[in-house]
Amino acid sequence: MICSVYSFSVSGIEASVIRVETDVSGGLPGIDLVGYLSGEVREARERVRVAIKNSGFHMPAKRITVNLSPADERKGGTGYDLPIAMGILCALEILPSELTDGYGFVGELGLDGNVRGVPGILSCVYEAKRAGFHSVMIPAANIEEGALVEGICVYGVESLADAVRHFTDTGGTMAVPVKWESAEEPEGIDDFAQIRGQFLAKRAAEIAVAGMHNLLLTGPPGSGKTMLASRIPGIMPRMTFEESLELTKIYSVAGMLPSEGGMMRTRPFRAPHHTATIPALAGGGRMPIPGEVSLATHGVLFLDEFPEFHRANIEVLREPLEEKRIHVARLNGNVEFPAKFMLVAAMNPCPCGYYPDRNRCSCTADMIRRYQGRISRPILDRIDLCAAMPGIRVQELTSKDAPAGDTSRQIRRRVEKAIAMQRKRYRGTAYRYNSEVSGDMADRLFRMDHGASELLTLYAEKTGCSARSYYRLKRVARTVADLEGSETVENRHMTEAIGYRMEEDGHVM
Amino acid sequence: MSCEEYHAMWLCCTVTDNAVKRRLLAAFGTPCAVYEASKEELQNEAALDEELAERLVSSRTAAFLDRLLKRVERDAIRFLWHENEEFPERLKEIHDPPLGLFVQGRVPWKNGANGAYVKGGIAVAIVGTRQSSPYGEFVAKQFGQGFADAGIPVVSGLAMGIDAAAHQGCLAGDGFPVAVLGSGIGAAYPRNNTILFRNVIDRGCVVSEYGPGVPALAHHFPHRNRLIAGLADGVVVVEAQARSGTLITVDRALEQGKSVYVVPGRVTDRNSIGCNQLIREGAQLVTDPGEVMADLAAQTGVPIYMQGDDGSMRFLTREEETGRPRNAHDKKEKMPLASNEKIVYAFLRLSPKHFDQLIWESGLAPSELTNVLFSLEREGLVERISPGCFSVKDTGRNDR
Repeated sequence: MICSVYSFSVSGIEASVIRVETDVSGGLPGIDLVGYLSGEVREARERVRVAIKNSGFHMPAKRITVNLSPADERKGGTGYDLPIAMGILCALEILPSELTDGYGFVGELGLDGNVRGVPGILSCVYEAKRAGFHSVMIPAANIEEGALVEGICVYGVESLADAVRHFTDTGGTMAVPVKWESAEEPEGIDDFAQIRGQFLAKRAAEIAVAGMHNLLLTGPPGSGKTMLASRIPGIMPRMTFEESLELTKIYSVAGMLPSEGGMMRTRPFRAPHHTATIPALAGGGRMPIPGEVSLATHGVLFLDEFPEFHRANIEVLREPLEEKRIHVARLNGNVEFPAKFMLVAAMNPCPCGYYPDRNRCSCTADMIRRYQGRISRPILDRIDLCAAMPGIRVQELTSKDAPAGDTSRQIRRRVEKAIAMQRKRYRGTAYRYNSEVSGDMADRLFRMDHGASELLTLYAEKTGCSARSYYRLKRVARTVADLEGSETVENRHMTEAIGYRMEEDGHVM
Repeated sequence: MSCEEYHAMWLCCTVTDNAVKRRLLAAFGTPCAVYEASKEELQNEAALDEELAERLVSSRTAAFLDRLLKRVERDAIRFLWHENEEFPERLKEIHDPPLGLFVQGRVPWKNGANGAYVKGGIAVAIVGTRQSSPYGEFVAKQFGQGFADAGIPVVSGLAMGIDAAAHQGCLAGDGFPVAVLGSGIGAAYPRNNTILFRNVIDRGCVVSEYGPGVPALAHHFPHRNRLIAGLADGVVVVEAQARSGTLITVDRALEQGKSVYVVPGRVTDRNSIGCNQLIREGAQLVTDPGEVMADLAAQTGVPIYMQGDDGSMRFLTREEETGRPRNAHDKKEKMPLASNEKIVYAFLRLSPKHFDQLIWESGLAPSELTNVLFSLEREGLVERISPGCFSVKDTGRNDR
């Protein structure tokens, strides 16, 4: 007799429904698995057989055929163990098959019959709800993740026996949907007030965050570029539920959710090393998993030692910077991951790092030019703000009368206000932040007073700057005005924006 | 172009070795006669080797000459045979004088009167390493501009580093740059300097012993250094390494009896080793273009003029002539600045200072300070060295 139960396959961060069909008939005893399966799915045959036996059920000497449908879609991962086992038990009439109607199953089996956690649960449960299942059965280890979805019953099971008992008696834990609340203070992120000095860079970071502009930090070794960048998630506005959910999905698929489970409540800070490969940055693998650009979604992607990155690797950032998502093309299909990060790049100004301090830097102009020329021009074009950080002397660090900087919370308040202004301005458009606004829309939406536009025109004429730089200044000035709560971009906002420019010939210095 | 000049140009384009040119002229008398000579005559009477003789003979084709003339016409190249009245007198007096010069742009030297230059009467060469430091370039520019201000042509070699900076400074001061190439006329070498090359032609001149299309061979460069020294009355060395082509220029200058001035550098810097060695050997240490001008004026007896603000020429004031700093307060008092700007300006120096340092000192908020700095930048009083680093912009003659 043929039985069907349902499971899910994850591609990118989206899941789709998989039908697991099982047939039991006479013939040479054994289990056949078909349906375009990868190695780990094919091995489920042994795991399922032993797990069923060790859970106290009798496997008759029959020929069992399992088909995972649609059969032309490549299936990977170990989450099919539980649905295959449930399908076989139904087909063997150990479990009345009508009981499993409206259920979806995901989980890996151990030989002892225990159900183990798998990545991508959040996407699966979401898809289950969307496809109209009333319940979904997942590993107990993933229960908190599954509980994030409202409007569907989520059962966490410890073992195969537990799962069967759920239908015959009572078993498994029903998850109580969690009420989402954003963390009041981001956890595990240090405070901005700890940074002494660095006024220019701190202000640049505030502006960058307020308009989601990309930022370039330059400065000698030890000036605190990494220190500053790692604190930027702490001044970003608190995550909304949708943002948090999207991020959780990505981390779920990557199998990187924190072990205590639940949602990602803090904005991520990802700092891949400069030897990172293209798949590590963009995402990849036979069954593609998210790369750094996706793991940094709604947070900061920090590229330290920017010129040391291989140019080809950096070029993959172009698509995510423009489109806020990335396509990963693999043999098994094309998947798409979100990649809505804020880029913070850091570099030394020259090979030795001390330019323009001529007392310490003896790099020749040619060396500096060559060093800075290593950065990809198209990427540099997408960085709106640039701030130089001076080396900090010890007496400044310990000085009592050093002006105390604002705390992350104070800065975040200002940023949230600025973002609220942008929300209002972009209501009904596809934009969310100033940095995303296209040129002609900027002309239409940004109100500039006479002084500001005159200054910008004068600057553009004097430096012969490109149209791209022109609009870059316009967008940054808009953010500066937003931070001040001003509807109109005034002369002083434009002036400040020009203060964070890069040099026109593409060299940072 | 007379027939003789035409053939002289042909000669200078095909033969690069001066000694060979002289041998040919000694054997045949005139360039026209050289042009007429057969291969055997060339080999026997001027003792040319077969390869060179063959090259001379084969270059007499119409196609070769046609191409040459087209190049000359397109790039507005002029050829000055040493008998030409525009040929610089002073180059006839040096050891191994060039027989002909290719020139793009207009020449700054007057003819007849001891080879003196128009305007200031003298010319100064600025030379130095190609691997220059930002500091060295800064100084070379300052000197270039200083001489330009006084109407003195600045001679250099259009190489990377100090040479380029000297030319740039001269152009910035609206002066008269003279570039002596070690490669064939009509193209910049290295290619990075193409824009500078064009600017030099526009506002001054480019000179070379080598005709269009002559490759930039390594031995041409030390050889042309005698022309740099020869065209100048004094040579300023800005940065030189221990073994440097710059030192060849210095040797040539000393052979020709020209003064050598050296800008000192840090003792730890490898770009200072050559400079400090020259100072040790007795070269005059200078820190300001005014010192060079004063010294040259005393030596040559040529009064040094300075171009006034209204474009008229005037004598240097005594202060300027002795190189003593001008009264720096003049400029400050003239500035109609707002009080914040005055405060910030007072904290700025010629060496770059970082934005954060200025915040500590001035106590202004970051957004205020960006505004103040930008308005100072617009006034042309302050220069932004890099994003976040600022310095005072001046001619190097104030109290900072």
